[in-house]
Amino acid sequence: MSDSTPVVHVAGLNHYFGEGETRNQVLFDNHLEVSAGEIVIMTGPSGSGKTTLLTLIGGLRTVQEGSIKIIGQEIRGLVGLDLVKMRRKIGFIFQAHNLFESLTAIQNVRMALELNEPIPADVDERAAAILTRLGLEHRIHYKPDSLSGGQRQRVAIGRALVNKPRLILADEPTAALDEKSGAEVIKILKELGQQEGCTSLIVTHDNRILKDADRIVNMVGGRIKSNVLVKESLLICEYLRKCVIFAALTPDSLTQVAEKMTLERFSPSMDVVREGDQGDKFYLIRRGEVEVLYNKEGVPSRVNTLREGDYFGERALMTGEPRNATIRAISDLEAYSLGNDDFQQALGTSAPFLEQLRRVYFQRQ
Amino acid sequence: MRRVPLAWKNLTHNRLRFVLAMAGVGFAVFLMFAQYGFRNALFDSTVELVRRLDGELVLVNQLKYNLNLKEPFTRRRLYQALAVDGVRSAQPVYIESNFSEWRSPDGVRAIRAIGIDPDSGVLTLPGVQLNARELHVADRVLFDAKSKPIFGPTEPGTIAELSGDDVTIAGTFQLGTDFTAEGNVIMSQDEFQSRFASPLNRDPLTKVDLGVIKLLPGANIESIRQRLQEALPSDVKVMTKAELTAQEIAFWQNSTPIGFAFGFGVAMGFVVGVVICYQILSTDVADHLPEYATLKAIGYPDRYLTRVVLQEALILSLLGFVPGLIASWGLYQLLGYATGLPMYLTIERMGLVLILTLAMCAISGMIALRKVQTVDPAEVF
Repeated sequence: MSDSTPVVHVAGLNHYFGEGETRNQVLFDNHLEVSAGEIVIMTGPSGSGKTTLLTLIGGLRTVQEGSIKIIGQEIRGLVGLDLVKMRRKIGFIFQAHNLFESLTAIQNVRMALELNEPIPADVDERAAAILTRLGLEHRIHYKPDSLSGGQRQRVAIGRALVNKPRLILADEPTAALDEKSGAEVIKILKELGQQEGCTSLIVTHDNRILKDADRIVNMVGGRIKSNVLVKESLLICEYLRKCVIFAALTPDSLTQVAEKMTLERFSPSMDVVREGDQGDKFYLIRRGEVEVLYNKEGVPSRVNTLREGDYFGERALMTGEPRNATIRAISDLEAYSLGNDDFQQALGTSAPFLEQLRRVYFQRQ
Repeated sequence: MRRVPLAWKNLTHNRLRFVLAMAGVGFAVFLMFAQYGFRNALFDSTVELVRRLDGELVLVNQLKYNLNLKEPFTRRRLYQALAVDGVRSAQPVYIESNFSEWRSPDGVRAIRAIGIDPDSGVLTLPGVQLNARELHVADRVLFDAKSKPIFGPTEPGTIAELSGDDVTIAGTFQLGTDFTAEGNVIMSQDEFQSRFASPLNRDPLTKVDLGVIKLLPGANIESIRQRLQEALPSDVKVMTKAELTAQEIAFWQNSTPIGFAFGFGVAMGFVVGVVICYQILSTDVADHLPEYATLKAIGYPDRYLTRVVLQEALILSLLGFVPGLIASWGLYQLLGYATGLPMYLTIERMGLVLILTLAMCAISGMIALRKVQTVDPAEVF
């Protein structure tokens, strides 16, 4: 298995609760890919299906429609002991710590280690090592009721991490914690991602930790509405700011626009936009080059070349006229696109500016 | 590498609850022991006399289906039995319960009078063997020290009245009471003859209640039993002591509600135990439901959780059994002393109650288990 195999691969995932008359679809055609080492934060209003998605990925529910692959293994169709064994590859962190109050910190961590068959001889050393790493070396033999909330959650994290899983699923891991403990928990997950290539998928409402994510997945009504690489999103904002159309937007609005953009790939000599077509999307070039072709007396001629950071397709959206040029990829092209509705909405947030721009375009004619 | 003993830790985490749990199971054990003990004591008491007969075989009237039935057989059968090969001796035991009354300053009570040949050693009771010679003197009797206290003073030397004539208690022995006999008194057969002869029954010694047959050393009991049965007329039956004991217990078990009543008592103890044990286990399961669900989520199979709950049940039953047994032992001592009933705590009986206790906890464990098995690991997210 190569490193490029996504740790989580979700495709065409639908899910329903209930049966017969009361059957109710809660997830709609979801696609998601998470690579090794990423910290992915899933946000969205309650009832949007993010916890359902998480439990499906964790093998805690049976996949009904679509496909979920964890580290290359399809989990749809796994039942009974196979499903149970698959879960051992995943570290689970819950909102409540769910530690056994009758067991000490090290014994609680050992519960996870004892899943290995045969039980390794150095379980105590390994359990102590992870607790030490989590800053609990003086609390190893304490029971949960003599630990603080943050310490308990760290023990729970220790239990999730001690088997060195490649995937960690966490549901509101910071909800029960104060700001400091919450930040600490995220820091630990981040370090693990960097040092051990451990992937974390975190469901949270906690805005304080959004900044630590590599990717933010937003779910609404059972659909993944946006799936944004945070660094990528920042880059898009940079480029958008340079566009004359978006320059006046506030950083917040820019981010929203960035999150709505989806990545599209084109091979060399593919047409991205055809002259005379109705305009439907706005494009921002992420990688590669395109040529701009005008049809002069039936012969297309190149008038310009665009590259990373350049944009095109805005004119047809703003004027409502057909495309006035053909844009063709001349290398492998990655471009972010924004649908007409989202484009109009984004412009609508800056109405006076819109007027001004329209004037500019009409003057150019 | 040893696993974390989760069952033990969960059970003992809350000390108070653990002690109460043990006490609860112990109480159920105690209940079962008490009911089972009463039942055994009552059955044991009815056959205590048979058990003390010094012989391998016993002759009884063919019609005698119960030891208290006054259904004697003619003494001639004993002489006939002596003629059979392998028989060493045939001794009579006479029993009179209907016409024997013990009068003391405290009142008049019926008592079971037993007549024997003092030199025969037919009863293996130590007190009888020790004091047998005293019985050769007229008006001397031996008194059962385990008789109910209603008979007044019973120390050796006490003078009382038995069926109209004075008697002197020459010594004591220990036999115990049963359903019908509140006390026992032993005398020589001559004494028996003189006291219980009546116009209707001029010579009581011709009618034997139990014929005790002792065999020559090394004789085959079963073949001699058959030979005797063939040699003797069919108005008597020849039984081994075990057969007679079994017949007697079967009578009380089947013809009276006693067996059922105490069996029901044991069952009640068992049910109470199941309820107590279920309460303890289901509370533990309910309290730890999120944790058990977490174990399932991180990859423990149902099998493991099943084992944890059943281990808890096993620990509870064993740890509850010990205090229950100790308390029951105390009860047996107390009751044996107070009532004269033979309260025996044999290994077999302890074994049976232990098995019942294990079954009790296992059943409640299995009921409590369903909750663990149905818990959905997705619920903990």
